[in-house]
Amino acid sequence: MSAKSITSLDRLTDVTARSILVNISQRVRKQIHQIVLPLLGMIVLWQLAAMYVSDPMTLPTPMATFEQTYLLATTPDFRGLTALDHLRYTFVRAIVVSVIALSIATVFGVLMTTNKSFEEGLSNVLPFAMTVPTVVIILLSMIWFNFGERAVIFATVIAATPFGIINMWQGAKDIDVDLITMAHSFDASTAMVWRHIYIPHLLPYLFGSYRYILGMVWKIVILAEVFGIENGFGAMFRYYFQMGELVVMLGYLMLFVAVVLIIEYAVLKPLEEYLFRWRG
Amino acid sequence: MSLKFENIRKTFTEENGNEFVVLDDISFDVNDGEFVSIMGPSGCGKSTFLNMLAGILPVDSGEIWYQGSAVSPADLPSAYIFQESRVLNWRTVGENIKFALKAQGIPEAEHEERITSTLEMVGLENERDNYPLRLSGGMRQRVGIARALSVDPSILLMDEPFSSLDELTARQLREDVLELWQETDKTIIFVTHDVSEAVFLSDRVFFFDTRGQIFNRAEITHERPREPDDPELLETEAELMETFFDHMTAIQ
Amino acid sequence: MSTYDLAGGSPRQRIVTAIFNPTILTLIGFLVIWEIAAMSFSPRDLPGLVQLAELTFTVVSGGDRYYFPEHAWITFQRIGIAFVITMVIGVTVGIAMGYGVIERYMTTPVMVVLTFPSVVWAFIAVMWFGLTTYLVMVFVIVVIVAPYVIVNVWKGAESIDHDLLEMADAFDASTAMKWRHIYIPFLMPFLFSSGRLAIALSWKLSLVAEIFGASSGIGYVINIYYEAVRADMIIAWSVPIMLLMFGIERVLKRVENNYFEWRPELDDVTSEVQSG
Ligand SMILES: Nc1ncnc2c1ncn2[C@@H]1O[C@H](COP(=O)(O)OP(=O)(O)OP(=O)(O)O)[C@@H](O)[C@H]1O
Ligand SMILES: [Mg+2]
Repeated sequence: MSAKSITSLDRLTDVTARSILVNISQRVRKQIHQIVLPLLGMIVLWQLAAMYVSDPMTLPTPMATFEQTYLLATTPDFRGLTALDHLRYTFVRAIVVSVIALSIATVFGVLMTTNKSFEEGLSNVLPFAMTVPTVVIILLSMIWFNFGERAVIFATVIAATPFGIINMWQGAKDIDVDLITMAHSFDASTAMVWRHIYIPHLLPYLFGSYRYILGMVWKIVILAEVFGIENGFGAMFRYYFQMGELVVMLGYLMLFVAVVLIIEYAVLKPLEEYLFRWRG
Repeated sequence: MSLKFENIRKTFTEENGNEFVVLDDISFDVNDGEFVSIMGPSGCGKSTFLNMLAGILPVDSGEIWYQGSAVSPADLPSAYIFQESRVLNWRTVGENIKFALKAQGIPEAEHEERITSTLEMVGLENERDNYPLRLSGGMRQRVGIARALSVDPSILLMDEPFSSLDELTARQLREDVLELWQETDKTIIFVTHDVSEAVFLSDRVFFFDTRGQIFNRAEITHERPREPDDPELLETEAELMETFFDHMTAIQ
Repeated sequence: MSTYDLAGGSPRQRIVTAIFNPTILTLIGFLVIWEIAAMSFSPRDLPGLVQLAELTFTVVSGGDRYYFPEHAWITFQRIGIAFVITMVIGVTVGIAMGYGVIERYMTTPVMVVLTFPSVVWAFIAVMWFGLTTYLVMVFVIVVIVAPYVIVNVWKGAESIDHDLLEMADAFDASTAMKWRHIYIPFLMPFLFSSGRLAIALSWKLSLVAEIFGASSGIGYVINIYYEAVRADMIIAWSVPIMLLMFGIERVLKRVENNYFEWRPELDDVTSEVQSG
């Protein structure tokens, strides 16, 4: 009997292994279709347009741009920094800001769901905060904080947080009250209700909100860096814009896009799928 | 006379400040190990009554006696099975049961044993590490039942637990619940809309009306085990329904 | 006195409830904080409320060095032209994507374009077209806002209930009837919210584009005051349009809520975004 069960077990693992392989190859094929082909298509279109324009000052070819990206990433500029160093500055600012904004958003989002007057007050006032244009916030913040690092951080937090709050609030709103009554019927403590119901419920939203906030924050940080700071992508965009160096700007842009997409699709999205595998 | 309700009353305050009476004067008693059902039209306060017994809602006035002494609902050794399964989708089946065990302060050492045995009772021993969203509706409802059984209550409160399932699954679960009940000697208070379900399951059925009173207390004397489509049961059902409709027209 | 009396009650009581309304309280709180903060700043950096009101009035009535009505008008024209073009492109591509044909291949390009910061587009546009009256601004707005509209309309096209379409086929409904009774009702809320999003984003982006690529418009004037380090004037020039945009936004939102009451789940259709 043992011999038989071993072979059948073997077959079982064999089957699962094969199904995993099939699964992986299906996924790869899907990604080729959805990501690689469209990207190649975009590059081909760009190449065609560049050939049509045939003026590298107006539209450099993709190859010339990628070469430029490589050069920028490997050689220091007049400040002694490579594009990767500038990327690090921008990156750290974006992370700091997004974490601050997410923390504020979480606190206010939960307060809004647990307290009626808070909810009414904020939900009517936040839309007004949301119509303030980012540039105006940035320019004011630059003046108030003397054109430095703190100005960038402050402006970005102010610009992104109202959006984050609304996002968290919408997530916290549709918590299932039936689960709370269920917990009460088993005399669960408040700590248990938070640990097993509120937090797991909020976690996907927290994660979603973070991705949403980070998506905005990247761009706001760069916009802020354009106005009077010395390092980071935005500062370099402005510098090369004033020099009239379109190729270099595009080189920087490609690096930026690559990094944002990699963080989004290779880090955050898989992490989300892993954390929330209970969603069937 | 192990469990006894005396003059239970419950009112709610409407948005505009008016008070309305849901349960006016409910008195009845339940024997140890008895299976009783509560029936009544929608909105008559059946869920409200169970919620008070479970300690989710406060009782306005009236008394509850258990084993000879007056108790508050919190002291009743009861567990609740809901209409929707109300499981935590982000916890595995086993962890869902652990949730109830921890909430009730049952020593950690017993958890393992209780989780295994209750999952066996409801036939879910293989789903312990599965997540609820991957289970069928009937299986999710079984998780809810296992969760309630795990804290080993003497009284089970069930609020239309099968009404969202298809009839075949519901029949299977009714049989299972009867079997569990007979094996464990638990007292069951079962709320339903469905007169044939009540007649099939219960020793006695109490009918609530829209004024918050009990207007009929029916004893179901048919021999167990019962067959769902037994003509004698159908006859009892028809009689009960007739009394029910007569009463409803009378109080209009 | 019970809480119940407070809701109706005498005029005096009604005034009391109105003042203790959380929205008003939050607003008052904000203004008080502003006023206190203003005391510890120079009025050029952060004017007090009264000063700000006076400044804004001077600006709006055309009393400032730069003539507000003229600059505001040109900014509005740019936003209007860009809005029309954006909606046409966004709706066409969005619907096409919703019907499956190119969806698979369009997702990644749309996502890539969405990661471009707005300044980069403004810089590129200026390098291509120089300083222009309309072209740079309209181009920047269209290029940045259209992807959002596309995504929004695409979600709408996906939300169409295919069971209803089958039902319509079972009754031999004509294509026109299907559009009128199924496609359009499902798409409408998404078109509406896309329009709202487009307006909100457009006016913010017009400022960015005007700072670098125009010699007129509100953004142009704001940049001049930025270089003169005059925070008070920046605020005074942006407040009037902010109020206007906020008003438009609220009205549209109100209309939307009344019009689409039958779909309560649409609350989260508008994924609001901050420009950057
Ligand atoms: N927390 C509450 N506050 C105010 N009114 C309530 C509350 N809970 C229930 N009610 C009202 O009390 C009445 C009885 O509700 P209950 O849920 O007990 O009815 P039910 O008999 O269980 O009905 P169903 O058969 O539909 O489940 C209803 O009119 C309901 O609207
Ligand atoms: Mg009920």
